[in-house]
Amino acid sequence: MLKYIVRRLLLLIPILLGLSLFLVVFLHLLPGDPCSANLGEHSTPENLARCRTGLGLDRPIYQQYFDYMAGLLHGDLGVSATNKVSVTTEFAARFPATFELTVSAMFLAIGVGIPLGVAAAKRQYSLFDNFATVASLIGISIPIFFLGLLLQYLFGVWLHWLPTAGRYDLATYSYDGAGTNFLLWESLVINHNLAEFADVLRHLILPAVALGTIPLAVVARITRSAVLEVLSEDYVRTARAKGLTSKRIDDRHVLRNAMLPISTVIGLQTGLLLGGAVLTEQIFSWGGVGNWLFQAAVDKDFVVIQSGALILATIFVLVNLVVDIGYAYLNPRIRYS
Amino acid sequence: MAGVALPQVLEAPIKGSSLWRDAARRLMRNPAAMFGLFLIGTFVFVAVFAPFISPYSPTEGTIIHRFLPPSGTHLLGTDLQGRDIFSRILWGARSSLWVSVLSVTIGLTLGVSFGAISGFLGGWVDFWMMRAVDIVLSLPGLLLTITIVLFLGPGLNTIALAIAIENVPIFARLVRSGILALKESDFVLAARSIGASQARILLQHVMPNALTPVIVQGTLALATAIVDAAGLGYLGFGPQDPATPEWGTMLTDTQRYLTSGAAFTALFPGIAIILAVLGFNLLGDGLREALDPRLKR
Repeated sequence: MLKYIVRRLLLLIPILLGLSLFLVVFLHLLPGDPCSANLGEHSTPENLARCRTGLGLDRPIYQQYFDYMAGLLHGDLGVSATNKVSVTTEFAARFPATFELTVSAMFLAIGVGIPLGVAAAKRQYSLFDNFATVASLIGISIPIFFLGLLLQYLFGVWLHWLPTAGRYDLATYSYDGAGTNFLLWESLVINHNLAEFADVLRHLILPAVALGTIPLAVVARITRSAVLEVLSEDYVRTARAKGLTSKRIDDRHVLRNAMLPISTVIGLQTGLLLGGAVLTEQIFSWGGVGNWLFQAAVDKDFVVIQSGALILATIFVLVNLVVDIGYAYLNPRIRYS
Repeated sequence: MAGVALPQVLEAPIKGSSLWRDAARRLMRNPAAMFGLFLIGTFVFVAVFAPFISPYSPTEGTIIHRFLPPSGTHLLGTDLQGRDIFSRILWGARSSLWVSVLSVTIGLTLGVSFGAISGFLGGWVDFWMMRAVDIVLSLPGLLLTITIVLFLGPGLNTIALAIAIENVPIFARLVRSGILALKESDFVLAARSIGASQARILLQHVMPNALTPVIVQGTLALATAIVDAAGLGYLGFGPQDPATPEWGTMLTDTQRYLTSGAAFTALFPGIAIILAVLGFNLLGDGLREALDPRLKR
């Protein structure tokens, strides 16, 4: 098992090498650079040239690549061309926001999606099953930004129940730089302040629901079909024939086997959310990774885009590795070597 | 008597069935898929005939008629510039249809060629081509699309190109794995052993089977393309010419007026997106069931 994990981690190296090469070449092939984006159309050629020399963009591309890679090997992910903040610092400050949002969204997706899928499968073609099927189809068809707007309007503007932007009430609390930026943790465990914790939680609800709806629908659909497949297996009939209670059959035989495809989907969705909550973060003014990389793309900030993408690709691979290890735990027939 | 009846029984299913005809029959019997087809039909009809069926100009309105609620004269009301929302939604279907069809056509053509070459050649070529696919797949999709659009400039065609690039590795993998599995399959061996020509094996046996998942994925990719295009439009990268209505852009335009009692202006473009996307998702699901006999209910 350990050997397998090490090998999978080693496989990350060629992927990251290839990805960095692809990104550097790709970004330089596209028109525009941080200088043209920063200085605008009306800057003089001298100003542009000075800016490019300052950022080292006038050097040959292979030299830029090697310098960038040399930095990476020393653990230096580079510095933003726009605000001169190091990528590592900015990522560390923003990742907690994205992490809390992703975990809450997946919590919702798994907590509601799996029971929904199981219940639908056990009453196949019933009214409830048809309703769940239609609901999950609409769930995967609804654009996230539209759902976000609806939630904001309904619960924020109309009912005044929940806040529609930010991670906490700026007027009452402050989290200035110090600390972990994991606000749920910070408010509850470090500050022991229940009111503060409730405030953070209230800010989290709408973005988490918006972000979690698509994974929820996907998880419910895959759960339904996985459970249906397992229910028709001979060993389930055998278990029933030898008189096991239906709860025991569900727990020990059905769910355990159905979890394999479900966990694949959960892993993929988690990996996607950790890197891709651009729209949700934009709608709810959530200062996370998606928002940051979106701004980097607007500024054509090469270094931030490159390093950000490398970090996200690494996270994506790691999440899927964890899922694959989970497989071996769930299914004793799978042994990695 | 039995001697007469037997050949008839044997003949009937053989004569009237082929992979495609069976699939079409299964699809027709699936009400959800048929409803999806109906939604798609409406969407395409509206997109094609928008100039003839829209009651008002999608681009002209008078400010004094802004934010009129839905009524007999303006079916879905008017927007912040007094333009008829119903007409703008009809015209907006053109943008969505254009982006989705263009992006999937490009992505599918490039992806299928890439995957087919990789699968047929095998060996080192295959290895390196698939590592390239891995690299693009490890990038977060929407971020890649946004980056491409930001560098190439906004507009429907750059959006389509960006979405196409995101689709290439997905199609490539699908076709390659299909071809690899089919190369070794028993029915290809059987066809070879009864003396079928190489071309016949490829065209009659390998490609139809390798392409069935591509058809399903292509339909679902049309749905994703509509959502992604609307998302990019919502972020402000849609057509910059206000004469080209786009559903995502329409949402952004009216988002600021949510509080002023004009929330309906944002509601209708959103519903239009959902219906179009739902259509392709329903059809995609139906096609998957119809084309894979093992999934038969």
